[in-house]
Amino acid sequence: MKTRVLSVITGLLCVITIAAGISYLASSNGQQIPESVAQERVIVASAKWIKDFKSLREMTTDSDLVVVGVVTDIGPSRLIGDSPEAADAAINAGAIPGLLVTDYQYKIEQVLKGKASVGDIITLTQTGGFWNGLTQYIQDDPLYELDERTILFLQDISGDSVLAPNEQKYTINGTPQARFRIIDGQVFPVMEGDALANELRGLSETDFVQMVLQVVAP
Amino acid sequence: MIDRRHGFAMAMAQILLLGLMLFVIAPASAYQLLGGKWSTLQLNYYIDGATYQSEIGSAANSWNYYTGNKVQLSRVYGQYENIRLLTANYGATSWYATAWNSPSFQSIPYTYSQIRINSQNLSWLSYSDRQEVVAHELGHSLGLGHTNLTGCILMKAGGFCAVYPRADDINGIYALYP
Repeated sequence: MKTRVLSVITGLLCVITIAAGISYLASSNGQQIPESVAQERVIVASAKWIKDFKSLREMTTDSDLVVVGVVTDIGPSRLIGDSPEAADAAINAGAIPGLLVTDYQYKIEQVLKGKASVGDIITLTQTGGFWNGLTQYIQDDPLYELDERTILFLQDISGDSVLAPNEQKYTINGTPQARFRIIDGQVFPVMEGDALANELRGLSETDFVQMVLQVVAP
Repeated sequence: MIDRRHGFAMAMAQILLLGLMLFVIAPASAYQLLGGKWSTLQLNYYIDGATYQSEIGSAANSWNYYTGNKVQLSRVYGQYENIRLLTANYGATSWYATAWNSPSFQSIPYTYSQIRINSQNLSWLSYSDRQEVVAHELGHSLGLGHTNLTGCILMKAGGFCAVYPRADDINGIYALYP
């Protein structure tokens, strides 16, 4: 009897092991990256990001401004390095148009680090945008949406000759790792797949903010 | 008592055997595929811009060499190109370079690929790091996605350590173009 029970347990363990193995194989190799947008007139890029943060402390310390806030307005997109005529021609030919950049108005609800005040509206700059019926963005950094509430770790790019000549603007600090959406009081990294994202995903907004504040003023 | 010991030993042996099989079968690969590919790996590239021509050439040659010429990237100077590399100052972006495949990353076959290199951000990198950035983007042009595996050319951020395609990147090419 005991031998029979043992055999059944062994069999079950084998099935579980095989199932786990199949699952592992399916998930680890040659997996296609899902793309949540329609292919028609949407062009998605992949980028090599400048920074790769290993901790919240590192990301906080490295950023000029860390804020909680909401996107209140989406400005018109503009082309960098290409003429509108060339971009239109490329779109009409089904080719890849020039590089788009979009500015967003972002209202600050809470300042965790840096020189800004609650209620300030700052300008965020992001690669990608809309042009002549075409949407363009970078895979790990989807375009900001109106009313999107986030915690952002920003770099001050004011005065940059290309993106912010004679203007005060900010951009995400070196990687979309530095952009977190707040949904129902929980924090979700926009760029998935790295250890830091796994560590921070699902934290409450309150806990996340406290963790940042502890870095800024321990 | 002997039956019980025998059964237990058999169970352990089966579990160990299955575990071993899984480790042997399971690949160490972490490469990701974008979902699309070219109909051929004999591809022409054109360099639009005067800077970083040597780094771009070295990056293209590294894909040719380390894939045993399975990938054959050839520079052209005016004829039709499959891949266009544009170097310009795109400002204080968060990225070094981007790759755009047409009609889309999921398309089979790709008809065109465009790589945009931000000279402002590459200006503070060493020659080998610039070569690595270009090799990374060429990997996207070929159909490879990002990986978090350290040491691969397709690492999505930071971490300059590959310079040329590594085993996992090459495995990705062989999986995509058997």
